[in-house]
Amino acid sequence: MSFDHSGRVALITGAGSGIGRATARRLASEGAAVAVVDLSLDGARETVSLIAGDGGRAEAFEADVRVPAQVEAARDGAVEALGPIRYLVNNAGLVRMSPLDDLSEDEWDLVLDTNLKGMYVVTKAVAPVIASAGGGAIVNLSTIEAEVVVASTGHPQVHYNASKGGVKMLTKALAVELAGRNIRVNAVAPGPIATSFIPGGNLRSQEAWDSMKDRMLIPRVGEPEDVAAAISFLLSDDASFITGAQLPVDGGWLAT
Amino acid sequence: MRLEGKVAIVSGGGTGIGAATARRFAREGARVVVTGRRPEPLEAVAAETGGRAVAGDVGEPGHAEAAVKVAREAFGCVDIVVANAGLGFGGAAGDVDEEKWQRTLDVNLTGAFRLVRAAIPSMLERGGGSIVLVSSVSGLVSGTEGVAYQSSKAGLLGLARSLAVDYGPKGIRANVLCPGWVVTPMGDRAMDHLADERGVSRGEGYRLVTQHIPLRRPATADEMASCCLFLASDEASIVTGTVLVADGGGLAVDLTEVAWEQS
Repeated sequence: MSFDHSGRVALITGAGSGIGRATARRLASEGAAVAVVDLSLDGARETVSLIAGDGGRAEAFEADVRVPAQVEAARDGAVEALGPIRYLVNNAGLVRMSPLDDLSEDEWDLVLDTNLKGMYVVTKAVAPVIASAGGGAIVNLSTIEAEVVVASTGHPQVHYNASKGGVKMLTKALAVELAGRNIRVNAVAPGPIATSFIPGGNLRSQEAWDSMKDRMLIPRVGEPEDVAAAISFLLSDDASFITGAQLPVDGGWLAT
Repeated sequence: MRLEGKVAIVSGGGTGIGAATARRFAREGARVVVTGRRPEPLEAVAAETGGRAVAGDVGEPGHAEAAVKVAREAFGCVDIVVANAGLGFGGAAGDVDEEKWQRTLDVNLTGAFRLVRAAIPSMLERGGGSIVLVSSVSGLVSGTEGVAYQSSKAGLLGLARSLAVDYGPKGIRANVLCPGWVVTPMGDRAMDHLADERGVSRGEGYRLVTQHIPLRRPATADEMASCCLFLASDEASIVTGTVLVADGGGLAVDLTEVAWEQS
């Protein structure tokens, strides 16, 4: 165990797969009780059973982060089942790729509502609980694409870029506003991470690696566990002076 | 134990952030070599951590090589470098004398470069390593009348990116920590200066310089040590070329807001 999260309750959105699941397992292994929230209850339950198998404590909740009533129900369920929430990981998000000429208003809304509005909805629901518990920490999932447009893929995603640029600034604004309630707010900015996040994409393929290797100073694709480690650090008391920051977890992508 | 079996060199390791980092690294299983100008505090930290002390000036040629030699002789290798030694002189570009400019660059930037350069062969032999350069928020945004300090701290960002690009494929990571105000002997001296000007106490000085940052307090040296630990450890194995800002949220705030707070 690297960081000590014992006795802390964490609520993680999008924790039914990928980075959210790895983060849930990591925090649980470090002593946290985890509310695993996902759009897919099956995914959330699978994460919970993995955590139970590791000897950890977690509960599954179904919620769409765009819908306040669902989020509030999950929050209330989490507090009742696990206790006062101290950590929030705003991880739920999605990506779609469409050139501007083909980008429908519905798709724009789906991406912005999930990635950006969802963080507002969940944070608004959970921050008061964290504050009442004496404070805690929030980590938002940003991306290197909050800083640069990865145009090399030939898959334009202006809505995704815009949503994550918003996350970067939302993080700073929340850090300023919530500091007085003893809540730190930071973001992690992953580079390429081997999950099923990109529809139809497989970042473990040779083709994918060939397209990114010139930008990856560390010669491997990122793993969900890499991001989970950074999230665990930012939530922990080891990061007690860090707020309003965005930490790239990107193999050096942004340095070149 | 996140640094089990690792050997670390920490410059400026006798006091402040460096001493706290050496202590934390030792608790996490690392063997530590501390360097600094004054032998007494260094020896104390070395004794406490079971490490080695190398007294000397990072601004002088030969010191870095001496530190690496001690690390290799005592512990066999170097896995981690925390280039933390630093000093500051005041002065705007039109006023600062060239000697002070040069001294600041020699210690803060060239000293870090030399230490890293001396350690790289051992890291390459080991198949990798981790470098943490302790810069400052002053490397990102500027305070008043500190041209040499600001420039030296900004230079560290370029140094880290260059190291990350050139040595990432060989297993060496390089990152920057940018602290805001930290309670250290160096911070104390700055606060005493402010306190003298304002006729207040040192503690009031720290309160004044942090009153508009979200966390409303300076950091402790231990809080910066834990950041160095994260960046140095395998927890950050895919983190390189980045800047970790640990400033209590200061850079998130537009300080023109202060006008409203004070009205």
